[in-house]
Amino acid sequence: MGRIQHYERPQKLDEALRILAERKGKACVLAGGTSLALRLPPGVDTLVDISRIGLTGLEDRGDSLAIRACTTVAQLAAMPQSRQLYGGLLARAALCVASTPLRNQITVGGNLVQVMPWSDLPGVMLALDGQIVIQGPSPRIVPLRDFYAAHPRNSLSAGDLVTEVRIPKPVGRVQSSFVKVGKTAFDYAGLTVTVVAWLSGNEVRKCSVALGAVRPLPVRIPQAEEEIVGRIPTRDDMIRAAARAAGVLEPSLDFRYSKDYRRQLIKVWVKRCLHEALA
Amino acid sequence: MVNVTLTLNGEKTACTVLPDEKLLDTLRRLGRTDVKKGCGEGTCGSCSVLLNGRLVASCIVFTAAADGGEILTAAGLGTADNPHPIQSSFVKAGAVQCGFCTPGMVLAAKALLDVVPEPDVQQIKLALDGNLCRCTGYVKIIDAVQSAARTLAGKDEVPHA
Repeated sequence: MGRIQHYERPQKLDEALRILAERKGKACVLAGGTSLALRLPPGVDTLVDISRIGLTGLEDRGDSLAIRACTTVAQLAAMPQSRQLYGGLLARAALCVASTPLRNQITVGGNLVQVMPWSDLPGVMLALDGQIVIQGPSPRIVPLRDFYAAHPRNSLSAGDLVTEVRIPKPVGRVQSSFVKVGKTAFDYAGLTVTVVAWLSGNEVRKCSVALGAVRPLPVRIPQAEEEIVGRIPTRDDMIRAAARAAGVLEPSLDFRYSKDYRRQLIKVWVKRCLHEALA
Repeated sequence: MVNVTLTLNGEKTACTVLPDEKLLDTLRRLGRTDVKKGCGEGTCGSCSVLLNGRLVASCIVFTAAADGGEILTAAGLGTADNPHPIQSSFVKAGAVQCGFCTPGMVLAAKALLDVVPEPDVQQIKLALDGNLCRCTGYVKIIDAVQSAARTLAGKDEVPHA
């Protein structure tokens, strides 16, 4: 404590953006605060509390659903849309995040921007082809695939503010599955797997396989996806896809799980998730 | 410094805090030592309070962010002379050993029972998943929440005494 000199509580988005622009690099966006309470970025002397500028809740954007950045994980878990869309994938994943008090504090935007290796939502949103909406000096919409090419802490510049994540509405029949593998319910994930399959009849016309917690950032596994797309996948296709997923990644070092063990986890859980999603 | 107004256990309280002060530290400075400091990083739940009706880990809430909020601590729920049924149930079920986690546990139970008056065991486990107890192993704690639910619903007396 002591390094922070100013606490700003803007009432409007414009005001928040102006403060961030003026205090370039010295101001830090505060939403749920669960990360910042433990670690503040170097050089910051101002907290900009964005919890009162109307960035909570969902909005229909036509072909996509916008989840505003300050929506808490608990709110996301309880929303009818997240329980319905994609077979309830968003609600299911949201309920796996941390614990009850933390789900009441962690925001969707914070989870996507702070993105710890074990964060649960980034992999899910990546599998759903989500897009991040950034306001600031150069407003832009970035597909999560590009957003997670580097850590957002490095790619977002001072003055940028993430205001929402857009999830495309499902087109046609879409099935999904999600699993978080940990040692206890409240453990950091050792692995998360998200599978989303867009079907036409029984044929898979598009498929996402996203893994979280094995690398510093969530990743899509195109090698696994291509084993599934354009087919009515058999058990062998799923086993092959899972084996390729386990083979293409070098899991990060983790004191709880060896690399070999994590490769084994990937092989087993990608297969099971494909099976569940395509059952 | 930041001026903050809180409604603390029903009483309007004005205070001046550091811009990065955490709610737990503010509450304890205000004399609310029923809010316990365990891990200090949002993992153990012993500092849990209800902020505007929602369970939060007060050690990782910035006090300034809680400005204007209503806070309920275990002492605001009930006292030794006039305990809340949840607190009585914890005592009668033998859910209290060292007692350090208990203030957070009863508030987690309160947050649950306010929304789900008759929870099943799974719902209780989920609601209490952020509160660690290193003594009991949770069986008696879950019993206590179930019997509190029955008492609050007027269904029966606490059966564990």
